[in-house]
Amino acid sequence: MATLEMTINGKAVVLELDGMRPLVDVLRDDLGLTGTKIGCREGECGACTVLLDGQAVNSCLLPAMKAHGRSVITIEGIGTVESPHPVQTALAEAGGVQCGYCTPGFVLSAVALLESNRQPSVDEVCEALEGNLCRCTGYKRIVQGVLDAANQMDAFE
Amino acid sequence: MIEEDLKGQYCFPVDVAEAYRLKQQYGEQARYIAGGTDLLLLIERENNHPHLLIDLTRIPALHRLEVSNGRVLIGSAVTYSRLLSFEPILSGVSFLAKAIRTIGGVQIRNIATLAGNLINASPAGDTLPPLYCLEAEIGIDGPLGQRCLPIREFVLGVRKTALHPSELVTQMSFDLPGPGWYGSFEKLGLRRAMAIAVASVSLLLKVEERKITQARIALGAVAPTVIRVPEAESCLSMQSLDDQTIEEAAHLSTATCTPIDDVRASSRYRREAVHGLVRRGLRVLRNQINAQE
Repeated sequence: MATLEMTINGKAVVLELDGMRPLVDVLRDDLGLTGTKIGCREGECGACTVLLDGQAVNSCLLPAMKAHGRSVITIEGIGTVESPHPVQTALAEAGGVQCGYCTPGFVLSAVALLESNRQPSVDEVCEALEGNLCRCTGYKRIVQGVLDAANQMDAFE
Repeated sequence: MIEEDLKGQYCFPVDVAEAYRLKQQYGEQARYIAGGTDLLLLIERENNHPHLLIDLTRIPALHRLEVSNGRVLIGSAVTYSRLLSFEPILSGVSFLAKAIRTIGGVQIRNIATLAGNLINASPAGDTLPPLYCLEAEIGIDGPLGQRCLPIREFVLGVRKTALHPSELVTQMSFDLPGPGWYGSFEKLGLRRAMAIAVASVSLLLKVEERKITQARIALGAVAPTVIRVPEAESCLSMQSLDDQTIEEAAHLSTATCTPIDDVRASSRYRREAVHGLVRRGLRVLRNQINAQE
């Protein structure tokens, strides 16, 4: 067993766990943060994307212990129905959501991009999202949503 | 301590010596982990959970990334994303940067390391052909001391390396190609992002007074390890890149490879792919060389 101390969505937690367990299982099963989804469980689909110290990572490939002493942000820490993040609003308005299963992962990848690059090009958006799969929308509206969010965030500041 | 408590331990050694001492102590019950993007899947697949994971990514010395006397030094805990934001990699070995960009997506590149790709020793490892062209040297540390091996002696076969059980890779290094050197990387995958190579080719040429004075050609995914192709390399020697020379080098490259049939492609298709990739790479370099003149 190993001891994990991390900050999750701004809140400090301490857990005793098997050090081989991937972060996604700890988030969903131990902490009840089921907004992080499991698609392929092998780092292909990006549904499990979370931010580790601000960087997008696949939580299915990451031993939870790698978050020891670090900060993790999940979709629950990004926005709420009452107060959505600009990326969430823009995706909804652009029609970049259908079944919604991949959406938390896309939102986190997009947030990570926009934190470091406020005016991304189409190519930069596509590169930032290439580790996220969507089987419904065909990507065009997702990319448009992220570009819209960038414009809105830029105008807001 | 009950048996269950022994399982699933995880530690962050502060230096290399502490890491290999722990590995020695636990033997096969311990495994090193850097990015872990392959390791976690491997552990699940083998269903052989080690008692201890020794995480190397918080050892400061392994985060070294610098150019010293014209040589690039890359610590084994350096992630792909960090390499892609390091100017000497982008401008000095852009073909290695191109290979790195074909790996996974951003989420993988933020965690995974160049050393991990090397130690996995898959013949389809995307960064290996460029590292073979650069004749990278691998720095190793362990209970018996430090040593250094050329990459061709480090990778022994499919998923086999020259590492002894408690040893670990500390860094990779290579000379930064100077003026007159031209490098390329071409990969054929089933799609652009997130795909394993069907075949890949890296080229590195030194050109002096319009003639090729050194040629290095490395092929990926067509033999048990990445291979160099001496026959094709020597046919380029003292030549300029006309169509006939390019065809000959492409032909000689396919003659050396021994590709397998698998779910991604047949052996015959892979040979054709090598021919096409070598030709494409040499044409790209010809354009670069002409643009310089």
